[in-house]
Amino acid sequence: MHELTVVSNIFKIILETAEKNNLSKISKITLKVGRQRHLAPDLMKFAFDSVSKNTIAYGASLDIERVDIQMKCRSCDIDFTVKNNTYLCIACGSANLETIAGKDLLIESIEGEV
Amino acid sequence: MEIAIMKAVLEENDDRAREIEGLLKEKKVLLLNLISSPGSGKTTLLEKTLEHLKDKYSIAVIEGDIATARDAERLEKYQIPLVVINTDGACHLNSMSIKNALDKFNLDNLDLIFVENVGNLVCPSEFDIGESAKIAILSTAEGDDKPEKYPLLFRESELMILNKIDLIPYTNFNKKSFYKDLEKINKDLPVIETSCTKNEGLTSWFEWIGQRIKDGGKS
Repeated sequence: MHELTVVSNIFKIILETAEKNNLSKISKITLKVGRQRHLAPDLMKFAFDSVSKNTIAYGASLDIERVDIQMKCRSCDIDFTVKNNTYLCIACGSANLETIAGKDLLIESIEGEV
Repeated sequence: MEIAIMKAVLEENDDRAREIEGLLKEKKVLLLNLISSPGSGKTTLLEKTLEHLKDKYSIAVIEGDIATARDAERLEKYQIPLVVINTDGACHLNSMSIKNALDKFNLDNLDLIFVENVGNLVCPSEFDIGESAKIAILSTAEGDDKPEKYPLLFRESELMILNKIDLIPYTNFNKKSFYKDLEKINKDLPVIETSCTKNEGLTSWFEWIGQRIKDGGKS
């Protein structure tokens, strides 16, 4: 249940941003979450509602964009998307890979009213 | 109105982890983050390791425990520097608590620190603590399907210990399908098969540690 830690961090960051921009209400939070992360969107929403109770962020929707796992092969230099947990180059079969995307955990933006 | 943020959610944890990484490099201390389910044998493996290596290297342990000090009590007999972090229910250790624990050690005198993370295959692998290496421990009784079910840990680890191999005859653990899955997820991950009760495979584990200390430790 590390969703709670993740959501608490999100909450802290969006409140700081809202304060700086004089928002009176936060209605939407857009997140990018890589598919390598073990994070359950339902649990995140549940955790967010508990953490944000009685604040300007309560009731905000979480828009979670899942980011595919992208690797670069160090042997033949091609980029590919990991499917079925298979971390082997689709062209040459090499396991010598560099992660390009998939561990993302980013707050992209918030929407709200002044 | 929409406001762009573009900020990593775990930035604070990651920044602190990078600081720890730098500190450990400077002090030439190896920090091994042991991650597994509850009951895989982390503490027993540590007992065996301390018995064998405590006179050869200067070792400290950080015990992550949700609410008790039971694991730490088992290690007290080795009279090594030992810090318990009670996470008060949290399912993982973070870099802030590790930094506070490291402040209690004299890093100039240490070669090696073991972190026994909270027993959990999911959450600890999401939080970097500035470790030199993550080590995944799996016991055969948990099943051969775990790498496929929890790929992040097996991707992030630099070594895997397959523990309790003496129990294989009493379980449905299928070594062939285990290695087949692992080859897909992390083909280059070295695996050491151990049994702490039968003292099998432990020499390879001690040698692995010795090599890592030789590569980056105090000379």
